[in-house]
Amino acid sequence: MNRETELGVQAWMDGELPPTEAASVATLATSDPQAAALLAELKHTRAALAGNELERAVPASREFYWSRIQRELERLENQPAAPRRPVWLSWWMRFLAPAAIVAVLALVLFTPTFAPSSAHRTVHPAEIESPLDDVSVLTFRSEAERMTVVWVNFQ
Amino acid sequence: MTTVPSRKALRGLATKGWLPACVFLACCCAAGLAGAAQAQAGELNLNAVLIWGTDEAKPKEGSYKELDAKVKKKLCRIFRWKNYFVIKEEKISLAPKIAKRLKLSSKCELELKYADDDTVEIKLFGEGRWTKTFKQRIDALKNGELAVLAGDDKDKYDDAWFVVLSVSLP
Repeated sequence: MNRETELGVQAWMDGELPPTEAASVATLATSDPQAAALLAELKHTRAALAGNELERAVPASREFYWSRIQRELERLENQPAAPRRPVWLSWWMRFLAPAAIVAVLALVLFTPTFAPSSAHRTVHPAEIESPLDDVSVLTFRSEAERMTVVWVNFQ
Repeated sequence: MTTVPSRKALRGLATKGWLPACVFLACCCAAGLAGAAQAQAGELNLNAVLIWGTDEAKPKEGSYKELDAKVKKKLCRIFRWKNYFVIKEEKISLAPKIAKRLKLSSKCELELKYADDDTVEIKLFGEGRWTKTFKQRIDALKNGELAVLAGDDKDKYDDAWFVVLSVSLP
C-alpha cells in the first residue's frame, strides 16, 4: 500500500472523499488487510484523542470575543473615507505635471539664456596671431559689457 | 480593417504619460530642425564701425557722426575717453568660405571670413600690413557680444581708434 492509498483511507475515514472514490476505498478497506489495519489504527487514534483531550477554559466567554471583533469591524466601517483627490488635481498629476517638467527641460536645454554661456569662449588666446615684431597686443574681455577688446600697440 | 481609437483609449494614452513624451520628442525635433536651419543659413550680417576716441569736442569740420548710445556707454565704462565719433560704418554680409575685405580708412582694413562653422576670423591690416588676427565665436556675436580692435592714435597724441564689430540687427 503506497502513501496515496494511505492518505485515501484516512480521508475516507474522515468523510472527506467524494462518493465515487469513497466506494472504491471502502471496498479496499474490507479486501486489503493492510488497508484494514491502517483504518483500525486510525479509528483507535481518533477515539483516543476524542476521549482524552484536555479541556482548557478561556478567561472570557465566546460572546465577549465576538463582540470585540464586531466592535472593531463597526469602527472600521464608520471611519471617514480618505478624501478623494479632486479631478483637476488628478488631471494635473497625470498630464500637466509631466508636461511641465518637459517644458522646463526644453526651456533649459534650448534657450540660449540658460545654455552654457559661450561668452567665456569668445577669444582663444592660442588663436590670436600677430605677425609683426613691432606690435604688441593686449586682449581682455569685459563680462559686464560683453565686449572683447584687442588693444594693439605699435612700438 | 482599420480601427478608430476610442476616446477612452486616447485619454488613456494621454494620462499614461505618452502625450508628454510625444510633446518632448516634438520639442526636440523642432529644436533640431531650427538648429539645422540656422547652421545651414550661414549668412552672417556684420556691422563694422571705425571710431575715434577723444576728449575733445566734436570738430566743426568733418562729417563725424555720434556713436550709437549703447555702444558709447559700453566704451565709456571701459575706456577713459569722453567722446567717441564714428569715422566710418560698414555693413557686410559674410558667407561661408568667402573672405571679405573691408576698407574703413586709408590706414585701417579688415578681412573677415568664417574660420569654421562656429567662428569668424578677423584680420586687421594697419597701413596695409597684416597686423593682427583673432577669432570670435559667432554665437557670442549673435548674442550681442562686441568684438573691439583698438589702439593709440599715432597721429594725434592721447586719442585712440576703435573698430567695433557686431552682428547687425535686421
